Amino acid sequence: MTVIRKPLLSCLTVAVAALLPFIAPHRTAHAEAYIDTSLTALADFSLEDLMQVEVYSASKQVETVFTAASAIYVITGEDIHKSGVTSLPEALRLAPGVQVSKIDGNKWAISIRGFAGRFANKLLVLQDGRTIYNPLFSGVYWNAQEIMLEDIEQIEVIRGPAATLWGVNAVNGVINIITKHAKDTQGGVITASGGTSERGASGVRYGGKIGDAGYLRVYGKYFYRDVQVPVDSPAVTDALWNDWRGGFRSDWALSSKNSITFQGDLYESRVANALYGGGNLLGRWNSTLSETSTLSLQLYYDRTSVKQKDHPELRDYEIRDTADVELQQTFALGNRQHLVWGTGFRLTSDQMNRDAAVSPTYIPTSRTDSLFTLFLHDKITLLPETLHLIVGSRAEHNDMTGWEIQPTARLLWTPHEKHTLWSAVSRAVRTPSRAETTISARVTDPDPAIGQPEVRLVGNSTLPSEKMIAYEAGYRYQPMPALSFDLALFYNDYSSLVGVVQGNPSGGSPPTLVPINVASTATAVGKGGELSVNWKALTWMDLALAYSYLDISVSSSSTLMSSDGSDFNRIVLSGDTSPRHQMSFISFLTLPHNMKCTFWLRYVDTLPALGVPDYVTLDTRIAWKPVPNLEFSLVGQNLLAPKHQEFGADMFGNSAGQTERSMYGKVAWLF
Amino acid sequence: MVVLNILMLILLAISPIAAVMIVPGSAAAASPPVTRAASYEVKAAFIYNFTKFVTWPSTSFVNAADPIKVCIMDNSALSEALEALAGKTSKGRHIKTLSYQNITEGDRCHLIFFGESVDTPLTKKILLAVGKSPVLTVGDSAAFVQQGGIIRFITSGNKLAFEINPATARRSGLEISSKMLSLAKIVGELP
Repeated sequence: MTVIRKPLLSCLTVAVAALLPFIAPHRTAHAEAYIDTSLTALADFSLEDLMQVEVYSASKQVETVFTAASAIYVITGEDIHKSGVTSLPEALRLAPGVQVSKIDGNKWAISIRGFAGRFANKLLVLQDGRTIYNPLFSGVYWNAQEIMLEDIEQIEVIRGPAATLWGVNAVNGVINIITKHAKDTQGGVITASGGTSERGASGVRYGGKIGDAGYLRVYGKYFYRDVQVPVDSPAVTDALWNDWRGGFRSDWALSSKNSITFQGDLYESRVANALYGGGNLLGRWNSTLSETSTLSLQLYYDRTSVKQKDHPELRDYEIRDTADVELQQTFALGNRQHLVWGTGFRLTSDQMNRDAAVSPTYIPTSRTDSLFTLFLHDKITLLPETLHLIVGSRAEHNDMTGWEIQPTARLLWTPHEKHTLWSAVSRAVRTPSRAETTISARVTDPDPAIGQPEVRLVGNSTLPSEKMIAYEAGYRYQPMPALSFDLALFYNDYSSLVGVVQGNPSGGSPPTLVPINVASTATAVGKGGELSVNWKALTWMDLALAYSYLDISVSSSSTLMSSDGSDFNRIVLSGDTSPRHQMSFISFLTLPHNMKCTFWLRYVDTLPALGVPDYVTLDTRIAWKPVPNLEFSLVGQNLLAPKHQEFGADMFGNSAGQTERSMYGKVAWLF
Repeated sequence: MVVLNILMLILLAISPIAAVMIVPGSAAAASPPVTRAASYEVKAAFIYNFTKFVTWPSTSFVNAADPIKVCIMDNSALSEALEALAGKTSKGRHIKTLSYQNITEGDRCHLIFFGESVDTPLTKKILLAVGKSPVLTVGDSAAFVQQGGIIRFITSGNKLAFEINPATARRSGLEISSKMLSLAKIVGELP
């Protein structure tokens, strides 16, 4: 009985505490006035009083995460370092509500609030303002994004639609990777690591100063990793994932009000014969126009390519060039309105597989698409410091579906400095991908001997965009600086989801060709929530807990059974490929003798559509710094079982692998 | 079943947090008007205040009339703000502000402030030069304390707070009052 009562009691107290902000009196209208204090008066303040003074920086309106009107979580570079993860996708597990399912050694299914798959298509992913999802399938080649983790300043993860501010594809969320300012990476770092799955890795970075106001860093990185053991075969393959990349970032302060950034990367990632390569160059100019206004102009060029090493014209062949320009301005209108507006233009041009005998092909084999965008976002103060209304909309023109409008309205209430409540209604769309509109892929080979027709997946050039209306609400509570709670709830209403329908067989009787056509076939409702708790329990102990719940139901107007009895649409629509429950508990410990220790426990529920069982796993890291510029660390990953499966095979013939228990050691030297 | 077990575990783990939550804190108290000021002015006031709570060894001063020399490594408005406080005294001594342009070899700073405009190599170089001599080093950058600085300003919400590495202070022969330590976030080695 006592076992039951304790959690029950905590449940009750949590519930009561959740009601507190509604009972507690909030800041009254007359108390909102600010007292602007003079310097001489400040000098007579005690330390305690000084700690209660609200500070503002002269030029920037700082919107902290605590008072943001969306479900945002920030993974810091420090968190990534202390967690012991070795790749970008694994680092995303640190944020609540993000599903990171490893398909095999170098492929991941990553999504937020459902619809996971290797080609999960409802996320916008950016690195330093450059879009890194691929318009071929509106997803990300995660294996081609293995940037130097030591250079990451932070990763902002927004759950829910953020299309108004961020643009195309930001339907279920945004992942925004921000690297460090070159000023913060002065000096050198050399890292070397090796282990059981993480066979060998090495990274070098050096940062220096150019002139009085310029900073530069260059980096290079190489690693090779195991490719995982397939689920249905015990065979150990010798295949390795080889990956190298190099790049630079340079930041210059032209004056106190103007700064520019140049950066670029070059990379190649190879598993067996598949080569993923590319490079990019980006320039950004930031200007402070006045105390309340900033302007930024950004230009970038990006090339990605996918090739087969020995057969350059074969399957999966793709070369893509993208050029993008964006202008953005923030300014205040009177005392109560803070506006952001922006405009942008993007051209993306591709060359696909030209050999018609090889599947898949795309018609036409080469295409250029343009995207024009314009947005306005206004934060209106209804009651100073207490109540804000945010309205905004983005208008976008693309070559496939024409104009798309993505508006949002958000209400932000900060009744007390320790409480924030927000709610939002937004519309977001996902425009059809290049593949969905133009693919022609053989699903089943014909066999005239037994009268089996060819089954072919055919793209649909008149496909409308997928649409979503999202209703969200959130609450943050920070009872003391060391403890914070963040709860977000959502109800997502999707329509025109893309699935497949069977077309008319052709070629007489029996037919020789059965087309499967891409079409809008489904609607869906996704609902759930995420809770995260961050607690600096002791000066040497940081704890973070995250729990997310997700319930998705897809109603499809078409069912299409494959030969093995599974419904194609169920897989294509990815309705059931996400766990209902996900939990993560991480504890960072600072120990005596310059040692640090991390324990990270995760639970992921079953994936019903893929027959993947639930799993619990544990990562640990222990690090020792004998001197301040040298760190040794030992990391154990997925320790609770010899191996476990995280995702299933997909219709594109990607079979799933098993994630094995692994260990690696690492040395990092700063100079 | 696994879910249930884990839920129970987590609920147990957060029960102390829940207890903390229901303690009636300032949430129920009426809020006074909010005092605000520019960040650099508040930092100047903090620095002035620090000099009252830190005891330098007597050998740091030439005589009883020797001022507390505050050296500002920053090109910001903070130097001017501190200069405006030059008439004030701390523990009977005047405060003398030196901005980085006019620090000479012979100057012995009692306190050095490293602003955001000071880059990492320069910070490291100065901290190395300071070594274990009795100089109170105060900085802004994220890794300041790890690099060997004593006090770092941290922003919590819209307010300023500070962290102290008492071990570094002790090694430098500086005595920081327990009152000031109690208000700070303590970092570094465990006592």
